Amino acid sequence: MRRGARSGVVVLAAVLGLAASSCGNGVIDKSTDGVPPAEATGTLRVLIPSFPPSNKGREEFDKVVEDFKKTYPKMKVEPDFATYGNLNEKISTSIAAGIPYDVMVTGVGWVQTFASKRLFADLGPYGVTPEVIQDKSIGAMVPAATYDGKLYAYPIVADARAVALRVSAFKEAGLDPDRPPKNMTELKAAAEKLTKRDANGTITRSGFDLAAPTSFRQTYTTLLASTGTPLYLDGQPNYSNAKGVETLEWIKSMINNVQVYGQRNAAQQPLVYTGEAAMGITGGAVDCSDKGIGQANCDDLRFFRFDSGKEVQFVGGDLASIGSRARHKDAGWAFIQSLTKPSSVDAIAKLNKKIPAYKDAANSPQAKSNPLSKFVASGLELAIYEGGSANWLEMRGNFDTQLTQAVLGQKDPAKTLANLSGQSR
Amino acid sequence: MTSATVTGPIAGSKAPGLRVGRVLLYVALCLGALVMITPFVWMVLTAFKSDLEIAKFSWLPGELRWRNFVEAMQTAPFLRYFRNSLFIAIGETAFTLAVCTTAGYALAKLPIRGSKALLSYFILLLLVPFQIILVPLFLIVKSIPLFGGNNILGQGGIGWLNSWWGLIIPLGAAPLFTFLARQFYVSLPNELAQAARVDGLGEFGIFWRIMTPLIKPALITICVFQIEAAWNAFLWPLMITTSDEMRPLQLGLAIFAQNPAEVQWPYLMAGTALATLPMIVMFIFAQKRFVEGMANVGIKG
Repeated sequence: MRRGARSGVVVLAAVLGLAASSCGNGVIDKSTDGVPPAEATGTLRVLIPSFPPSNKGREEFDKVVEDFKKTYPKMKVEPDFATYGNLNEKISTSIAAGIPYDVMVTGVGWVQTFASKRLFADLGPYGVTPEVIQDKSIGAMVPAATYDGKLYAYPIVADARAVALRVSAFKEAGLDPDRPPKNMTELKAAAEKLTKRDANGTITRSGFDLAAPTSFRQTYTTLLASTGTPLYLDGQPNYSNAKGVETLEWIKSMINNVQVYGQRNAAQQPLVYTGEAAMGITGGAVDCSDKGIGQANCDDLRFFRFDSGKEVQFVGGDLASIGSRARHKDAGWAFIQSLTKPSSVDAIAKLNKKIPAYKDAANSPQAKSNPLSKFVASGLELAIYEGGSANWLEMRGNFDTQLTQAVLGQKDPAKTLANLSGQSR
Repeated sequence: MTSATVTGPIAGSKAPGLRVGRVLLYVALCLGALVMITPFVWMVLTAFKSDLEIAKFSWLPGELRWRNFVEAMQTAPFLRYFRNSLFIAIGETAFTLAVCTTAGYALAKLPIRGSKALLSYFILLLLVPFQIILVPLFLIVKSIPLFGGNNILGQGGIGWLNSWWGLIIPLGAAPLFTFLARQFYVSLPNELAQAARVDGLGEFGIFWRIMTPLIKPALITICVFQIEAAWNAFLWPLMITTSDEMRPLQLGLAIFAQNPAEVQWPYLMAGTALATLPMIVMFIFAQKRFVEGMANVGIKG
């Protein structure tokens, strides 16, 4: 018993020692707003999925910090390299715990939702206006960064989508690859001609890859916008109408006609890259080296955009915001300025294969690195984006599910869109 | 005599049926094994492929690209991630053994009023998804008094966030393992404890020196389950850490899928294959306990 008691005392002492040793770390900072930058101290908390936490990503992030420290030499920067898949949980837990991030990098679709919940600060006091973004960045991204007439985010990089065709497939089908089909009627006619089937009628090569095996949200948004009908107009749903139904009916008419529902390859890459589809939606970059799809495949691709009356290009991207409850808002803005310098943006673009969101993106190193990036960089001003309502983040999963049900004939397209429109706030 | 006359014809009539049944059983088991092993085979084969080979369906890589493994490991400090995962797995398992065995013993052997209700509560907890308790757990961990700059009321600092404590303790006391330990303790005869009491041993002594050594298989089972769970943890470490110094292997692997549109499959699969190795080795050595544990949770009590 005595031995047991002695062991108990030793364990207790060890626990108390460890508890004591852990005290005093991690005290939440006092605000540095209004303090001269050279005198400000504390830790700037940055939530940033734009830099992968690889050695290279870390090295590039350190350069941004180095630049920031020229203005705020005494401040520490604590990055949280979260993934896009877990941004919501990271932000909500930090808010709930009362230790909000000072700078948050999110995507198109996040900004309006979080701004409506007053989690982001208005960037107006820092001189960010639509004209500034128009002048220095991508003007077409202003709506995605705006809520209730105020700007809440600054674009860093854009993640664009284009459409590609296989020259060899077009020539084989007697179509002219230099005159790509752009509106929905032409696209459907060409896709049907390009679809290959075996003796049993099974599709062996898709005529058009919708790049949406189970999610038609972005494809629908782009096609609808190409008719001159944006998904949301002044924050109000704009798809429960004739154009909206027509677009959804078009997607429905393509599935299992020119492409089997759910088709995707193991790499989850656009099927047009490998010839599994003759046409299809692509991302914003393609690796033409032997490590990627190879030069021969690249040479067989031509890029174009949807145009059923209005030429558009779907664009997502990374945008930087300041937390409304941040303790270092001024420092946060200084950090965003360092983050959006061309050298930093170029590095982020290269790491993520996205397009820099600065004015001359078409001449950026990323745009010059491959033909697809060059193409999408030249069309950034034609950007359209998904979202537009304050509850888009909550809605988009449901949007996907219901569009899929309509496409598969389980629900009436008009009723589906009316229902979705009713859920929008 | 009787048995001889009875068993003769029965054995004779059952033998072909048994053989057919056994063949069918083995076919079903082989198919099941094939279904289970295919993703692992696919993972290993993918780890050797190029991007183009992954985009086009093929089982075998054109060339064994061992450099995928080297390049994947050079992308980030994976040695540190391995070390962190190991530390978390060992720490969590040690804590689980301490907490869950004592709780399991109490539920099984101590005359606690309402112990059945308590047991039902533990069983009910098994049904609660982790996502439901994520935010409350985060708030509790952030509000641990006297840690991370917190005062005695748990305010003013970050508590166990961004600390080994936060990584190890909250997921250590799992209801599953308490239930599992309880199931094993229940199977031990009470006479052993009574004899020890007659010899003057206290309750903790009975637990520690008499009963617990008899449930070694259960301890091994808990170890195997908990190491596996800790090794594969992703969401909780991601939530409570910001510092890369403490992040485990699973978060390290997420580097290759940072941009969902540009997943680096060869590197991701190479890294995953290496990360899976310790678990496969552990399963090979402890598969009997693994299965035994499942059986005990399911059928005893």
